[in-house]
Amino acid sequence: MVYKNSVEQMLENDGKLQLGGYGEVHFNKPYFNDLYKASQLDVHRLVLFYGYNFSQHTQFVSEIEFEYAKELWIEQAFLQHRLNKYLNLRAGLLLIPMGIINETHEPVTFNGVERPVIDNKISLSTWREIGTGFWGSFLPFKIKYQIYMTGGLNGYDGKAVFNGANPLRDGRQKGSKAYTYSPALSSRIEYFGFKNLHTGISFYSGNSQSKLYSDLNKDSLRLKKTADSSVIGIRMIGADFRYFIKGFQLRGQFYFINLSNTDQYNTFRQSGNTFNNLGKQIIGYYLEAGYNVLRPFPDIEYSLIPFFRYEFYNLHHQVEKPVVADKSLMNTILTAGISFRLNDHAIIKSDFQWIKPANVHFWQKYLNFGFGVTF
Amino acid sequence: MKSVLLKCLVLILFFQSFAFTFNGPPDFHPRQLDREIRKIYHTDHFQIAYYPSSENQPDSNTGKYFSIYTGNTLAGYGYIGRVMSCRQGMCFSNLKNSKSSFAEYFDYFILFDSTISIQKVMVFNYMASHGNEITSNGWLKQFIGYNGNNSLIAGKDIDAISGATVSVHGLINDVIIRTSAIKKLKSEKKNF
Repeated sequence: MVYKNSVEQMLENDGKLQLGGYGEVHFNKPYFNDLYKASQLDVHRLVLFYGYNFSQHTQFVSEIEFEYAKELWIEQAFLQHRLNKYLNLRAGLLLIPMGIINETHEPVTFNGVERPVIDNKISLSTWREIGTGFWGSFLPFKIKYQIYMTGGLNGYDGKAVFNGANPLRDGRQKGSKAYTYSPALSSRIEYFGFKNLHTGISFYSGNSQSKLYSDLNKDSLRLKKTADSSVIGIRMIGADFRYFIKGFQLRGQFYFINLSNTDQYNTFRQSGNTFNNLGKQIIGYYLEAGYNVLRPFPDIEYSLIPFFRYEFYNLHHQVEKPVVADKSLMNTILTAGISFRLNDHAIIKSDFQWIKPANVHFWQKYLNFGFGVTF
Repeated sequence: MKSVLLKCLVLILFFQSFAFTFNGPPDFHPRQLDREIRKIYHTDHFQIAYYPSSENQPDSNTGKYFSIYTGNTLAGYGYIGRVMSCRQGMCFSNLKNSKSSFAEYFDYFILFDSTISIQKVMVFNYMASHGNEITSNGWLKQFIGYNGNNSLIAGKDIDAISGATVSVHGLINDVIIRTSAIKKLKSEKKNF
């Protein structure tokens, strides 16, 4: 008789409990002309999925993430209920449906050791907030939609959280005692009617949150004015496509952010006496092409995909006075690498990255190695 | 606040009123099936004879084999049924035993000609949260001509789709199994 532990028994008995996970381990070596730089070895992410099917239309889904081998986060934790063929309700800690990577970020699904730079600098992967909303698909029209109302980004908590070089990323509240005064709306529509082509458009709209409202008397007009000026309005759009045919793969992503009230917001200091320099408009995009050179060999299960990605972003695409556009925030990134897929669940990656800010004439270089698994 | 809640409730009830039988077994005779049979076999007059599920067909509640007749002539064969899918990385559970509660699935049909060569694959109900790309008719055309003798490998014969791995493999495996089962039924000259 084979001994089975309780989880195995549960899995075999009714299949309602689902377990899984993904992980990625990285090595990054920077090359700078004039400076010594240490290489980094990192268990970047280790994520455990667990979910439960209460019935055919009610599920719980969660992901527990260990980041950098020591930080513990919850990446998703939501309850989902299917009302009908076209409409599912979802509530809890949700991934903001912005771009390709934020929702589909298992390491076997993208090329390159690290996620694309713009998904870190502009989109905020892994971007998640607590909220509620619904999603569904209309099969005859080949459309999938998502629309959620969530808590907003933290923009001011005693100091300005956003700045020019790191615009919105630190404002993520990640479902950890998140505070909110006004909700944000995020939505995404995907179209998959063309053969092998998947396209999507994402929107995000909301105001940043400010702790200056905390316990503020509603009659204190002067203080309310100060609090108002610590809030910025965020409107973000993302457009993406993925095209796969006969071993050839092409994908692209475009982001544009328009921020309002940055002139007033920038009077709040982040530290010391320097004024803040958050840009008014932010733009970024990439285009990537790859080809599985082992595709012509029917007996070889592996995939070997050399790829090249051209990426550009400008965090000061437009600025409001008195901020002067900082050219070091306008970057071009070239990534050339190889993805070696052992199977659908395991991938070994290597790439070389050249990064050039517009204010300098040399390329910063990075060599990256890593592997990723999902199961 | 009360009125917002009320509006939400009305909205939910409104959508709930459209609640089709998405729960339970698949629809074994969707309108898309008739439409595609008309197109593939060039006839408005046909009969679908389902293979009797009593004859020890183990998963008859999630799939059915059938023959298509035009008059007394056998025009082709077909299969209609459900494929269990799952979230990428959440396929750990034993799918076979979980059909009653599984929330991630899709329903599709295959139409074969009389020599058991695939003429059409169509997904008519997609209830998985990812991998919708496999419902694209253009992508599904890659199955046309498959007869069980040629290979059907994701990434080689069938274009792989990043982010839809589970559905791609689920469908390919099911098509292989159903094609081989229909060949067997035909060779045994079972009455269907």
